[in-house]
Formats: sequence, structure tokens, C-alpha cells
Amino acid sequence: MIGTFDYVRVGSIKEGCELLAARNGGAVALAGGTDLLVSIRNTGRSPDLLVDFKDVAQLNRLVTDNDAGAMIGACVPLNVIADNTVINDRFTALAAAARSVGSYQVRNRATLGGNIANASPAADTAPALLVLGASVNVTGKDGTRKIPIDKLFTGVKKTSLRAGEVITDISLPPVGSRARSAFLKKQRVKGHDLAIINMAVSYDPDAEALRVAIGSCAVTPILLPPVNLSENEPIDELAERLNDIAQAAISPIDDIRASAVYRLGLVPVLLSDLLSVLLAPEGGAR
Amino acid sequence: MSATKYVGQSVPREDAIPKVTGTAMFVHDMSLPGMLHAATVKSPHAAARIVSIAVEAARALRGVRAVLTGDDLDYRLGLYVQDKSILARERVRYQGEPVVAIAADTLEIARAACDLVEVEYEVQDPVLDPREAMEPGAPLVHPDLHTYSYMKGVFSPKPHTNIAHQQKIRKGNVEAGLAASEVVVQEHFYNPPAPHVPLETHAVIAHALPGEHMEIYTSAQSPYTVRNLLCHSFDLPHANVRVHVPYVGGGFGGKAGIQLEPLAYCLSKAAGGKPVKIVATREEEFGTLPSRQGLHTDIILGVTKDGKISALKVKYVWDAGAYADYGVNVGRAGAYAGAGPYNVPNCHIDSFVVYTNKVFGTAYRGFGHLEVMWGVERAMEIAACKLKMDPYEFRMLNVLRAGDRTITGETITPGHGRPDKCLEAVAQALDWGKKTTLSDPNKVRGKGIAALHKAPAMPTYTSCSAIIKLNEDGSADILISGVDMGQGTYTALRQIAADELKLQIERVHMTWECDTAFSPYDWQTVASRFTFMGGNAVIDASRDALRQIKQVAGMALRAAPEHIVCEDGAAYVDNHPDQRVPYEKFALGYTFENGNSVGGPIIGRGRYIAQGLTNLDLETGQGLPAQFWTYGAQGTEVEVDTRTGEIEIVDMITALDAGKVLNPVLAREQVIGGVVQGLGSTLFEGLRFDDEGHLLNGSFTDHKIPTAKDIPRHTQQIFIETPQPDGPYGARGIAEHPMISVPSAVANALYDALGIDFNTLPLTSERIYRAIHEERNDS
Repeated sequence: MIGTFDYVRVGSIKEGCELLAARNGGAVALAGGTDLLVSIRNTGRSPDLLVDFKDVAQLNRLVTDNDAGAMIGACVPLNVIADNTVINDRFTALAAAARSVGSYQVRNRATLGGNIANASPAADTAPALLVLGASVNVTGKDGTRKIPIDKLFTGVKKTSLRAGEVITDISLPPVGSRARSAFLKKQRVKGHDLAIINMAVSYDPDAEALRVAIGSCAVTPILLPPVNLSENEPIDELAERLNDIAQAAISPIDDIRASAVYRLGLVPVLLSDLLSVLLAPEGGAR
Repeated sequence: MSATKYVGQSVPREDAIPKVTGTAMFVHDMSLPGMLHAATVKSPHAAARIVSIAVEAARALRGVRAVLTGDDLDYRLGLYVQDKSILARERVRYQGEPVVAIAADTLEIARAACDLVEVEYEVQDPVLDPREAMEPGAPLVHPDLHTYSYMKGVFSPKPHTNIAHQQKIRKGNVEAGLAASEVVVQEHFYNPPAPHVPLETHAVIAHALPGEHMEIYTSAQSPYTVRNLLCHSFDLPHANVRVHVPYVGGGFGGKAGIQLEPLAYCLSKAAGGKPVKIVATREEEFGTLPSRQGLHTDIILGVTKDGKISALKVKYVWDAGAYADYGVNVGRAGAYAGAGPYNVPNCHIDSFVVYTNKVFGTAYRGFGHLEVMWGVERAMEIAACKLKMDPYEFRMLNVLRAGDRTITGETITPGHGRPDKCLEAVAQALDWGKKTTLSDPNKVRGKGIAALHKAPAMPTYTSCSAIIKLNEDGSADILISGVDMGQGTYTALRQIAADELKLQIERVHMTWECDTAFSPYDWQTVASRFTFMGGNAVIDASRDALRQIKQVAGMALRAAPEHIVCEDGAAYVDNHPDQRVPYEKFALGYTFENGNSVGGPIIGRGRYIAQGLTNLDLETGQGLPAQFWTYGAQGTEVEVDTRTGEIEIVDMITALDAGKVLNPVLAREQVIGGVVQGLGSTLFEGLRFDDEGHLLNGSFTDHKIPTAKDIPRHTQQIFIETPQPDGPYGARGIAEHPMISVPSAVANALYDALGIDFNTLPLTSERIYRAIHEERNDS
């Protein structure tokens, strides 16, 4: 059941952070609430205070700029991200990942900040943000700091956020003009479902950079170490090489959604499909 | 019979606008003055002795009005075997079983009070696999089974065992039949238990009134069954109990009997007569309220070298869970339908319904037939493949035809419907025999076909009645107590009444709230029998009303009733259609110019009772269990990604011999809905438990059902119309049938695609992936 708690909707980040600090751990930041309220109901444990940040204008901004990348406020709903033309064109993996979270109705509430703050190993936007090199801007009572996304996730539902800190926005560095990215997810039903495994790949032919991130296969989403691309390496060989790296980097478990064996078995398939999408326009090899 | 004006037309639903606009009233929406809300404390263990229950703190909480434990409620309930207390007494038999119930001013207080209850348990070893539960020495779920009362002559609980019922079918000599077989298939099949997942969870408001009266508002499929069981449970005269059923948001069998009603009544009584509302949470819908039973099937099928079935020996072991509920009758129906729509000369079936420490089973759309046909139609496929026969040809060779005798001794007649025509229609629509090849090397296609049959599983004395009353304006209201929970029967009944009454359909209305005080008796809205029996009762009531119409119109027009013709809500004398008297002139009686009046309010009454059914012999299963059989076939083309095991349902074709389609659009909708529900059972659904009997997927997070995106790319619905001699306009029920052979058709298509036999449901992508990899490793 949902117990009793206080609720405050704040008008500024400062006001919210002060409230979080004042309650000394008894207060929790609320964005869309699609994970938090479900968790409160399921665990029967309520915080003393929910601090709702959705009214803060700065947290609802989605700013894109051809040179400066993108800045996405923590409270921007996932549907807004999924529908944004620039995000779709330039940060394709993130648009696709945002579109795969929950159902349409859930995505009207669920936010990007919430999806990563919740720190589920299966968070769909996490692999996309990892391959896009995102950083997370956070504010606490001691000021602001920037956390690279690959330093955010520390365990199942655990982040490197300090007590009283909130995510204010997520910044995506500019991508090269020929850079592209993609996201895929395997799930049990075609409609809303949690990922058995999800994966994002980004590729910039000009920078010879290829990044792969995998979710739902370890206690945190995993960004694979960078790979050196060799000239004219066929896609299937590259996929095989990446698969070896991935299999060593991840440590999936058996759970109600899938076995570790199945997850490991899906890795080469997702790699192959994603690489085909990203590299095939250049004729099967780069 | 003259041509119909409305029967056979796609008349839109009368309930569409109230439902879409949100004005339709469900129990969830309702509240009574002073109403309390209730919550329950549930067992965290699958099997345990209750050592002590401390409720003082809960009772002391401000706003708590009643606290009940099992010891307060000395009643034992059950449809067929009286094995269930209202709250657990002495022991708990499944995780999720209610142990303490609390009514309070608000739901929040009731839930907070539940948190204050302390129950001490002595945990015991649960028995979870029904096959193990049948072994001698297995822990007994009901040690007192030998003391329980049950429906004698129909069911047979075995004292000092976990067997709630054994249904036997014996025909011919199965051992001789197997000895004469060229090919013998011996296989094991499994279906997991599965929840109904109605859009509207169970909800009830009970009001205990002075003088041992009660008023119940409930989301139930069968108002009179709720009343009858409440009266029997509490030893009350039927006049003391009134049951209202407003709009119901889906039932699928889960609301067929009684579930929350007795508890709500006891709480209301304990709270001094304040009305009490209980609304099941979605989690309770999964883990506390009953589901479909699991089934283990062991089949031995013998076939001669020319492809004729010579013998079938089956052991069905149903996982009843903690209580028998409808489960024993599912085991009975599964047995007499347990050979499929095939001519089986030698048959030996034992169907055991076995208690385990899991959430209990009940009726679920298909009533055991999806489960049974999973084994039967997979075994038929395997036999055909072993014989190197085309599986479709094999089925056509063995399917029941006029003159054949079923396994219970019923002779098939030309009025029985045609499973062969259904198979033929599906094969044709599926382009059977033509393999689709794809350019993508990772994808393969396969086609599969499966037959199906089902008859209503109901007592021999099942009946239905209807009242039709004419209003001042000549319009008509139909009163009936079967429930339209979305399946569309009320629309079909309006069509029938409009044609029979010779009245415009816009002027024929259903009363959407059933009320045992006003709506005449109907047994239950289950078993795909409401359109059949309700339709016949409405025909009878309409003809009674029409006779009265002609009588009074004859007086008004100064002609004998047999010369009166009725048309479009008006009456005239045979050859004078220009001199019409509209029904409103005499609906309440006809008044002549001088004021003299004749006739009086027109009220038609109609009824129907099952014809010629017999109980099945307990030793041989011989008898007539079926009012009618609806036959069908389903076929599918599937595409498998061999890298991931993911399946895409490319096409799903269903053919049913409906006898007569009363409303084409509603029939199509019903079939599509059933197919999608069947795909849920096929691809993802099923309750899973750990070794201690804890439910692992009791919510939508990890028990997935099909979404709009999971509907197949293409579906097709084909209706064969071989009239049912005693059906309304020749119609048969088709409500449950569309989901029955979806799993077996899909698995048969998977065999065609991959050459791998799947015998366990659900067919998750992981299960298929693993099978493909095992196959590769083996070869």
C-alpha cells in the first residue's frame, strides 16, 4: 500500500535541494514517478517527503544545437525526446531508447532524469546515453557538478549521486556530421515490457570511433571498452570481435525474464543487427 | 421461417456508447451511504499451520469497524466439493490465501490495520507438482477430505488422498487397439496455470440487512448462482438475498462462481450492517483469486498403417491448486472432450483433478479444452509425421462424421456441425501445402493446423428464462439474468426479439443491470451457452408476447388473431396492410372510441431447459454430456528468427461451425479476441512458482499478456453454417472456441518450420532458442 508522506512541488532547483538536505535522507526527489510510486506501493516503504521538481522550468528544457550537442532537462518526458526531430536525426539511439520505455501513457510521465536516477540495470535510455558520451549535471546543497554517464551507475538501483543531489539535466556532446547511432531491445511481448537485453551502438566514420553499450546483462549497464577499427573489416568479423569483448565484459544472471544463457546468446544477434544498420550503407564494410 | 430482418445483420452494440462515454456503471464506480472498505492479510507461505493470530492492534486502530479471522467463520463453501473456508482456518494452503479480513472507514485504514496483524505460522513442506501429490505418502492439502460434502453421482473425491475427482472414459478395448497399431506415439505435454486478467478486477459491495437479509452488488457472471450459493452457505431463504450485477468488465470464467461475496457479507454483518466494499487489486487477481488450472498430459496414441486412429490412452493430471472450485468440472469436461473431434474406436481416459499448494483453479474460457487440445492436437501431428502422412489429410481421415460415435457413446448426426468443413476451409485459406521461402537466411516459415471442439459443460438440468414487456410507446424491454460482460450476447438477443416481435430493433432494449429481484432465472453466463439458451428463451418469450399482441389487435381490428399480421411494430388484418394499428395503441390494452378497453399490459414469458442430457457413468464415462458441439479448426503461418527464437504470427485463421451467425461483426470480434487471448497462452502466459510455492510473476511486470502490438499481422475468421436443429435460428455458441487450438496450431507450425517438437507451453522465444541450439548441438 502507499503510506502517508508529505509532498511539495518546488519552483526552483535551489528550493528543492534545500528541502532534500533538510530532511536528511528522508526526502526523495520526484520526477515522473513511474518508477518511484510503483516502488513505494510495492515495497510499502514511503519516504517522509516527496519533492516534486516537475514545475521547475529549467528541468523541462530540451535544447538542441547543431554545434553544441543537446541539453535535456531531467524532467523532460520520454515522449518529448522520442518525438524530437533533432534527437531522432543526430542522437538516434536515444530517441529509439526513449520510445521503447514502458507504454505510450507511461512515456508521457516518465522522464529521462528519472530513468537514469532509478538506475535499473535494464534502463533503456542508459545504453544510448553511454554510447553518446552523455554527462549528467547534478546539483546539491554544495553546488553543481558534472558526472560522466559511465561513472553514474554503481550497482542495481545505485548511483554515484550524493545524498541530497538531484540530476538537473543530461548533456549530449556534439556528434560529427556523419556520426550515427542505433538502439535495439529484446523483450517478451511486442508491447510495453522490460528488456531481456538492450543495446546501443554509436559510430562515427570520421573519428573511427565505435562504441557499444549493453543493458540488463550486469548489475549496471555496461559500456564496452573502445575498439580499434581496422580497414575494411567485414561487418561479421567486427561483430564477432565485439561479441568476444562483450561476452567478457558482461555477467548476466538468470531471472524471471530470461536466463543468462539466453542473454549471452542474444548479444551477437543484437551486435550484428545494429552494425548492419549503422555500417551497411557503406557496402557491407566500412 | 420467413427471412429475418435483424438476425444475421451486424447490428451495433447497445452498450458501446455507455462504455465509451464512461456512463456505464460498474461495481468499481458504486458506493453506498456509510460504506466501509475492506482489505485482507494474506498468507506468505504455500503451506503452513496457523499457530496464532494477533489482531488486537488492528482492532484498536481508529476507523476499523470489523476484524475477522477464520475462527469467526464456521462455514465451508464450494460449488462441487465443499472444501473452502471464507478465511483460512487452522492452515493455509497457498501463498496469497486470505487469513484475516478488516473493514474500515477507508481503504487506507483497512490496509494500515492489516499491517498491524501478526500471524504466527508453522511452515510445512508444500506439495506443488500434482503428479507428486498423487503419490502415496504425499502431504495432504485437505487431510479432512473424507468429511467434506460434494455433488454425489457426478464427482468422486478420494478420501485420504489429494485427488478431488477422477473422471473415467472407457470405450472399446484400448490395449487391443494399441496392439493393432502400426505407429504408437507416446508423449508428455504440459500447460502452466494461467490467470484470466479481466480488465475489471473482482469487486463486490455487500450489505447485511436486519432479519438475515442481504443485498449484494457484484462483478459476477452468474447472478442466480451467487444468490444460490450464498443462500446455501449461510442457510438463508432465497427471498432474503438479492443480487445486483451491473455492467461487468470481462470475466473469462474467473467470475463464474462466487469469490469475494461471502467475505464481504460477513464483514458487513460484523460491522453492524454497514455496507462493505471489496475490490481486488491486480496482484490479488493474480495471486489470491483463482486462475486456470495447469495440466500434465500423458498420451499414448495408436494409428493403423492406413492412417486411422485405432486407440487413444490418456492420463490427464490437473493442477487444481488449493481448492476444487470449478476445477473438478474442468477435469470432467476435459475427459469427455479428451479425444478431440476424432473418431476413436478404443479410448481409455483417466482425468485426475489433484490438490496442490498453489492458487486454486477455476473456469477459464475454454474450460479445459485449450489444455486438452494442446496434447491431443500435438499428438495427432506427431503421429501423422511418423506415418509420413500430411497432417491435414490425417485429420480429414479421422475427423468425426455423421454416423460416428464419440468416446461417450453419442452418435454424430447431420445436425452436429462439420469439423471436416472447418479443417478444409482453414487449409484452403492457409494455402496448405505451399511452403513460403524467404530470402533472409535467419528466418524460416512454417504452417500448422489443428482442429477443435467444445460443448457447454453444464448440469443436465440447466435452464434459462426471459421476460419481454411492452412499454407505453410500443417498445419492448428484455429482462434476462445472463450477463453481457462484453461478449455481445445482449445484442444478439435484441436481434432475435426484434425479428420475433416484428418490431424495429431501435425499439427493443436490454435491461443492463441484472437483479435477482426482477430478472428471471438463468443458470450461469458460462460455457458458450447463453446465446443458445438465452436465445431460445427469448424466442419463447417473444412468441408469447406476439400471441398476446395478435389477440388484442384482433379485438381492435375486429378479426380473429390468426388473421392478424404484424410488421414493423404495427398490426393489420391480412389483406389490409393500409389499416395498421401501431403497438403503442394496445401495448397496455386497447381502448375503443366509447372508452371500453380490452387486453392489458403485454408481458411475454419464455424459458428453455437443456434437452436429453444425462450424467456420465462414473465407471465408463458413457452418457450424453453435450447440448451441442461447436466444431472448428485453426491454422497459422509463423515466421521464426532462428538466431533468437522469436516468433512472428504471420497469419492466424479460424473456422468455426457456428450453425448460424447471428451478428457477423460481433462474431468476428469475438473470434479475434479469443485468438489473441489464445496467443497469450501460447507465447508468454503462465504462472511460475519457486520451490517453496511462492508465485514469481504475480503482476503485469512479469506476467505478460498480449498487447495491441502483439495482434498478428493478419487474421481471418471463417464461419461454416450447418444449422443446429435446436439452436436459436440454428446458432451454436462460439465464445470460448477461438482460443482453444491456437497453441497447438502454432506448435504444429513450429514443427513445420524447424522440425522440432514443442510439448510445453508457453512457447517463449527463449524456449524456442534453446530447442534450436540443442538440436544443433545434437546433430
